Amino acid sequence: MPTYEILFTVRRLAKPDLVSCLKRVGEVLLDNHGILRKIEYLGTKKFPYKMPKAGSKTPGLHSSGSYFLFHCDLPYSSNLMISNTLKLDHDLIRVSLHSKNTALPEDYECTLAEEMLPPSYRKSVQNLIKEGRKKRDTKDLGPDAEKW
Amino acid sequence: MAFKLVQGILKSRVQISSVNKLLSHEALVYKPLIRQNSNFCPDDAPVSEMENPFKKKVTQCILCKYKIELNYKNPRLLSQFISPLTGSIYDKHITGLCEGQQNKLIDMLKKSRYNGFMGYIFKDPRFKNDPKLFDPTRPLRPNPH
Ligand SMILES: [Zn+2]
Repeated sequence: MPTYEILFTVRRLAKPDLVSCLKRVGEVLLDNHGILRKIEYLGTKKFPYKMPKAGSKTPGLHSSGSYFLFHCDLPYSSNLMISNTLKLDHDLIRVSLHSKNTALPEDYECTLAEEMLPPSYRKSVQNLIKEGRKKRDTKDLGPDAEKW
Repeated sequence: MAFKLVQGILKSRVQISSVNKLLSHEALVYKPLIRQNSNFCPDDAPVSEMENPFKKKVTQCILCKYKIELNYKNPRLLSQFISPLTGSIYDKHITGLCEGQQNKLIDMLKKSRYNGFMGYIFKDPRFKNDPKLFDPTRPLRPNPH
C-alpha cells in the first residue's frame, strides 16, 4: 500500500461542525481499507484568491477557510473512489490526493552542463539529426495493403 | 601530491646517471648530460596517475547543487521562481534550472495554486524582500522560442 497525502480546505464552520466534518473524512478513508497515520492542521487563513467549490454548479465563492492534511496508506484500487466521494462533500472546497515520494530519483544527475552546450553538441539534437526527416511517401495502409 | 610524485621520479633517475659513469668508456657514446639537482627530466613523459589539472568543474543548477527539494506546501521557495509583476513562471533559460528540476517546479506550482497556497496572478507581498536567484533581464541562455 503506497503512502498518500490528502490535502483539503474546509469552509468556515463552527467547531462542532468542523469536528464532524473531519470524522466524516476519516471514516471514508477507513471504509475503503485505508490506514490513517497522522492528521495535521495547517491553519485557518484567507485564501490568495476566491475559491469556488470545485465541480459544483451552485454559485458561491469562498474567501477564507482552513487547511487540513491527512497522512494515510491507501490501496491502489480505492484511490479514485476516495477522491470522488470526498469531492461530493459540501463542506470541503478543494480536495487533492498526492503520492508521498515526489522527490527526483536518487541517481538523477544535473543535466545543466549538457544543456549549456551549443546545439550541435547536445545529445538530444544529435539524435534528431540521426533520425532524419520522416519519409513523406510511405503511408501505412494496413496489413492487407499488398493484396490490392 | 602531484608535485611530490614528480620529485621522487627525478631523484631516482639522477642517481643512475651519475658523473662517474661519464669518465669510463661509455662516455664516448652520446648521452644527454644531466646536472645533479637540476629539474631536467630525460624523457618528458606525462605522469599517468595524475588527474588533469585543467579539468573544468561540472556546472550544476542551484537546486541540484545544494540538494533542495521542491514541495507544493512550500510557497516561499516556489515564489522565488515566479515573476513579481504577473505571478507567472519564468522559463528555464532565465531560472537556470536543469530540465528535470524545471519540470518538477511547473508540476509543484500547479498543485500549490490549486490547493490555495499561492495565487495565480500575483506574487505574495510577504516574500517581496527574499533574495533574488537570477536576473530576468539577463538570461543565461537565449530564448528558445
Ligand atoms: Zn539540476
